[in-house]
Amino acid sequence: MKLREFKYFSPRDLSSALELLAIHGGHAKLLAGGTDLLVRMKQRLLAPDIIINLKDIKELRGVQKMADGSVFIGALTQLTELITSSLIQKKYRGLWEAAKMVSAPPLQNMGTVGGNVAQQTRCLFYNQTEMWRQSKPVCFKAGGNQCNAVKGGKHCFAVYQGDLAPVLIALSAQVTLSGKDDTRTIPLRELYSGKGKQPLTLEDNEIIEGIVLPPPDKNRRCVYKKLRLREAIDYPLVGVAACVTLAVDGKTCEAGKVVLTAVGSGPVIISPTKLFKDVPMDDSWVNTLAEEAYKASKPVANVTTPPTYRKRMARVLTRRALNAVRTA
Amino acid sequence: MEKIPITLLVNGEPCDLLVPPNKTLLEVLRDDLELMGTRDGCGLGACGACTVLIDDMPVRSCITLAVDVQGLSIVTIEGLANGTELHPVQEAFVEKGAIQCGFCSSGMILTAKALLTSNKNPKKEEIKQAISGNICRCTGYKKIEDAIAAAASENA
Repeated sequence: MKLREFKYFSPRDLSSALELLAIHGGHAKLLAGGTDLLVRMKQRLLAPDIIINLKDIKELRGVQKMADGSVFIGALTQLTELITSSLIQKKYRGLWEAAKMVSAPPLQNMGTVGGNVAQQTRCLFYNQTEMWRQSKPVCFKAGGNQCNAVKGGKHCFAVYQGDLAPVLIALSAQVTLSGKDDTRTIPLRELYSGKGKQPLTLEDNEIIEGIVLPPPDKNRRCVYKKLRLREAIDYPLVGVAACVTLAVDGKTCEAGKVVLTAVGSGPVIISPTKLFKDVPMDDSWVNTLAEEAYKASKPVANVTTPPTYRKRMARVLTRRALNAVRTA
Repeated sequence: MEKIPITLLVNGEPCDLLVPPNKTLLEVLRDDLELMGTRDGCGLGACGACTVLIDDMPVRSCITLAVDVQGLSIVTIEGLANGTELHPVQEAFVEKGAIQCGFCSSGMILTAKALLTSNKNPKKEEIKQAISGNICRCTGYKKIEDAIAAAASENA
């Protein structure tokens, strides 16, 4: 499978990359690890005229502790660097677990944190070769006007299957986005539109600079549970991140979130105050949240396992995740 | 399309090449350098047949642009043996019958070599984790795991 022709740039600093992006905008695609982009280009889902390789931009790489105690993860940090960071392993355990569960080690050596959070939505009827796709009508995601996964569907149902985003959102992480004229830092949850066709709110002229994690907190616990058919390579069929901050008694939840992935076109967030603010973490709390996760999960038949099974597994994994955080 | 000059260190040999940016490292290795040991499997980064080592780390050459690895050290399966003397990992694969059709072997052996470089005495689980991104459709993985464990004990 060959890649189509494109013009190639590899800027050395962020400002040059932003300038190139400002000139070429919608015709250009940003290359980081390539594990998502180059595959889609090979399948002819994308044919950009221009590729801007960000890998030579050193300022976008690495895990750093900031003066205010927060932790900045550069967008070009490879997943392997995240996994081998003792800071991440010790203080952000759920994120470390999730990074280890992304695909398999050789792809963790390539894939980046920025690329992972900006991962495109996927569909069994879309992420296929050109020849395969020609056997079906053109779908919404490919620019057509019907959905091949949901009969009579009025919009694109492609599923968001990132592993890092649910944990990062559960941790209330922020994302820093650079445009040519300004830089903005927004809660990571706002990066996702929840729309299958256009899952990210990132502008054409913006580059993800990195992720800002809140300072380490010894009372915070975070875990990630992932369902997949094989123990490697596969995208999540359901993923659940649970993050709670414990009160001094160790039995009451002061704050927290449950965030699901692969059950909709964006991360699904469950964070009603009444279920997380000063609530005892007893069996009924676990069961109530598991039920909420079940209700909020809206999988459709566009991955390899049936939606009914994935919806039920959202409940099971939420229960497992919450039992892990309350007993850890 | 404009070609870009690059220098790669392939199996210790510097190679000056002029490549179009849309050429993958896999295509350069097989077509330009005629190193056919690196396999072209799924072409989408999923199967692991095209695995090579870049700076001692296993990566997928089918989804790596050649222009993106300018100046880096690349090891392919051809770079492991010392003349006619097989590398201990290759030796162990032959010894334990860890090769059937052979299509995954280049990627498996290089992945195993990278593991043993960073971890001299891996546990069974660590071996499984390391090769979890390489698909073999013949062996059921048992003999491959045995071969890597044998190569590790040989090393120790």
